[in-house]
Amino acid sequence: MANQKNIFRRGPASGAGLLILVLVALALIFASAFTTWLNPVRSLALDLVAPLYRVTDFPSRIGEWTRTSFADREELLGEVQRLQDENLILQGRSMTMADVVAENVRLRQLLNAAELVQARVLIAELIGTPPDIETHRIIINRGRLQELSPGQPVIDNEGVIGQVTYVSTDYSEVLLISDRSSAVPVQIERNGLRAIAEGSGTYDSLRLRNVPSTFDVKVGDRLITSGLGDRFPKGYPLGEVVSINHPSSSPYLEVNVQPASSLQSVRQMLILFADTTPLGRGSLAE
Amino acid sequence: MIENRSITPVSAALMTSLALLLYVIPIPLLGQMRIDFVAVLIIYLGIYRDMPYPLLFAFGAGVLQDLVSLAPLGQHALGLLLVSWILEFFRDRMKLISIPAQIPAVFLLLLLLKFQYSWIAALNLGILPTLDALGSSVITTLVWVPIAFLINAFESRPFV
Repeated sequence: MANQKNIFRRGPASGAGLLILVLVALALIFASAFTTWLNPVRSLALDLVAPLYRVTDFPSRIGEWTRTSFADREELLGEVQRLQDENLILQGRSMTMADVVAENVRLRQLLNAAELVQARVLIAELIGTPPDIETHRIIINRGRLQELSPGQPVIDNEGVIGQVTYVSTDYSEVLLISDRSSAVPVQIERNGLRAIAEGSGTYDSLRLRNVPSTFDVKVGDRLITSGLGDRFPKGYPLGEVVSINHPSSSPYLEVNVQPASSLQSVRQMLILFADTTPLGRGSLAE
Repeated sequence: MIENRSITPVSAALMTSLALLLYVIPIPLLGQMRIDFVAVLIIYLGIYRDMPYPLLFAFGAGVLQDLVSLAPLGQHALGLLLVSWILEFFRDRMKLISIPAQIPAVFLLLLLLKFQYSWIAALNLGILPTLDALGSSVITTLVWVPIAFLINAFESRPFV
């Protein structure tokens, strides 16, 4: 009886309690690693803790609000002018692009080639970043209610950011391309050569995996998604080659890529959906 | 010197909630690195407070930390459980020395904790641990002295 009382208490008797709890913890770890049994728990946890992340993100939101509220009038007018100019340039480009797309669609119809499509998108906002130094993940304010599902690509105005990994009712977890478990099929924009870009664990660097020394790659080459693997659609910018090393002991090149997006400061992003609509005349302008 | 006394469940729950909240708050210039307030709390309670079920408390706090940080379930639970168990053997010796003098021992415990977290992350995600874990342990150790005194002050309030 005395032993039962002492099972979790201090002293030598705590060995049995320790063993039980260690076994439970190991069972949870293995279930998380090798099964999907705990995914509903994780989704529920995401729903419960996401508001907490929203609260803890409050200081940075206050900082942003203070910067905007106390900004100089001249500065704000300058910003408005810059955005108006940028909008004008983009509208001009969009009109040209619409014409090019229409021509491309006509030519594809003549060749009986596959139809050009555009993906449906949804705007999302960053809620917070989980406090885990080993992984690069973010929490966003869109979830199952907005028809999100694991595997959907996420982009911003500069390029690919990552992909949705967990979805709860109102929130989702996004794995960034800089995470060491992330791999994105890419191709070099200049010559179409294909490779795999994997995360390096730092926000400003990616690596190309298993690139042979005969591979035609140069510093400054732009990388875009190749569309292979059916995860990331073709043609979205991923980054630019910033350095190439050839270790004498290895038949492979070490190619370092700077991501197109500022992964550490991204706040607004777009989620791409698999269902697409045919791209026709005027669709880009819309 | 902090006196040794028992702790009420309400007080322990309040302190754990606060530690979890502080744990997820991003710190400017540190990026994803955070001060592990939950580990500091478990170490403090393991040394200075008599609890009915210290291992169970550490395990529970760890599971909550797993849920809050969206980490693989069991990762923090196992780490905090081991730290709590190790403290069972050294708490009497650690109580004899001042809080600043406990810094090396606290650092070693945190290092063990981060090492274990890293390997579980490696098991789950197939990635090798980095030296970032070391940085996180150093930062958490730096706040051990002020946090230990603050917890004592917080816990001495009459409302808990």
